[in-house]
Amino acid sequence: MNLTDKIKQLIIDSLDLEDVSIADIDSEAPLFGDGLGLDSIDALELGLAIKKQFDVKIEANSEATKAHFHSVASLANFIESQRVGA
Amino acid sequence: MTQLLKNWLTQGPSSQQLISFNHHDIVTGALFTNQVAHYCRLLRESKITRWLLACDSSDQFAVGLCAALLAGKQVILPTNTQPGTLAQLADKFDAVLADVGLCEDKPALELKRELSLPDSHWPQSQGLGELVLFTSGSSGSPKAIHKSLRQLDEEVSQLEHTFAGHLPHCSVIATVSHQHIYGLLFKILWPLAASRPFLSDLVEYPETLSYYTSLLPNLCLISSPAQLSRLPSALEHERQARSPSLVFSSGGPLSLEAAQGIAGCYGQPPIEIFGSTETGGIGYRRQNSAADTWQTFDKVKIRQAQEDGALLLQSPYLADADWYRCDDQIEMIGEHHFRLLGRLDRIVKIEEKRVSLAQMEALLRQHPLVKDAALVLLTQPKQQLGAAVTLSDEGLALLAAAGKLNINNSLKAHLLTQFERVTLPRRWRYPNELPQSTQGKRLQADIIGLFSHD
Repeated sequence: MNLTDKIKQLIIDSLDLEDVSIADIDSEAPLFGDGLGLDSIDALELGLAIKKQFDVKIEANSEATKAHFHSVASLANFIESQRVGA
Repeated sequence: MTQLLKNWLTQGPSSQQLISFNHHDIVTGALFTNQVAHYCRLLRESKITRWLLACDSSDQFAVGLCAALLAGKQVILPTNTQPGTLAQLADKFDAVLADVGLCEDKPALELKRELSLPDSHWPQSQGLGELVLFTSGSSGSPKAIHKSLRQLDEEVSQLEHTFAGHLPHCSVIATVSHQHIYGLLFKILWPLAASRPFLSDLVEYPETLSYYTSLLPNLCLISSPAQLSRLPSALEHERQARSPSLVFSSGGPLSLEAAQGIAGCYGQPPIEIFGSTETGGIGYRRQNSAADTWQTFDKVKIRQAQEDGALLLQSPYLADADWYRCDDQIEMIGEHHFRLLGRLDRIVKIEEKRVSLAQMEALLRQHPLVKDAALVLLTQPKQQLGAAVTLSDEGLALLAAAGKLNINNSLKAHLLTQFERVTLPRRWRYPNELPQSTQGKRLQADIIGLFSHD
């Protein structure tokens, strides 16, 4: 499974999304609000799940964090960039 | 300690009082005064009385709030700024004081930080305004709750009296919005009146919270079960080197597990506040064991309704001295202590947001895809709503053609016109009919049964 699909599966599993499969999630679409329609509590839980599964460090600066968590694609970039830096 | 808020609001801050801060900026009393004077003047030039106030940044919100109260205006605080919510409140306000454009058809005054204002004196008031908050009534339509300065002042003064001993020169940060009564009192009014600076931003992530706890030695954290129940895991259940001096939790019940989790990380469990928009604070407790009861605030009197055990209260935070009936069922433990047993109506809380099931069902029934709808509160894997919906012919055709997710999303989009996203149902079922008893009553257990996993 490639990284974007792993992220999508993690979103589905960690947020317990019913009726949603990997194919239903558009990598470029916003995760929050319009798009996948995740809410602010999902944001908290997803942050925790991403941190655990991919061992990344999430910054306190919420603007940067919001940008990383914009879409599956931006999350993938963020995770990749932390790996290169490691 | 009385009239803490009124005195402060009449005299204004000293020029040295630190009003608010964030990671790159501070607002001093002098700067705050200039801005309040500026907006108060603009508001006084307007004949309009009823102003809707909404602003993300707490310092600008406080400027707008003080200016409007000093100008004698009625301040309307919406619980959220979704278009459907504002449309529902449209006949309750005539103009908008906000940081962004919200209603194109009403006059608006933009709240923005003006740095080049002349030095001003704190405006003198000929009569202070009042606040109007909204909450979901059990009938389904939003209920307006009027709060006079007197009521708010009683509450702020009592909070200072009860908790000041725990708060040595604290700064206040919050994970909850100041648009609701809890955030309004604990993050804005109380800190202003007691000269404690507050963080102008909302804290949304545990990482941001840890940044401020390590930065500031004395911190008062205003939070809620949604954040606090997830925080211990985010902090890896480790005892933190720096902890807030005091943590408040309100908005809904905090589990004992979460209270103990916070104690593990921060050294002591949060102080929980029980109350509502209508009543203000009723009681508080610190949960060390499952047996811990709620203690009423000093001036709040409670008793129990004979017929159904409902909580009755008399409180200076209410508009009058009558006994007020709450929809919470209680068990009295002596004169000043009680246990909460549950709600007596169809109001539920999802992540501390109060939701009227009747209102949400009524909105669902208005959708062309829907014939009938029943909502139930599910408790596994977390507290969430399940929607059992029978579809119209149009709905059934779309279900066959486009699939369930498509229908879920259409109905969610429809609910979003009036409800906040976190409250939307996360489980959807489309049975041919809703389970009913022979008397035509909904069978709650059978509807819940629709959601049990196969």
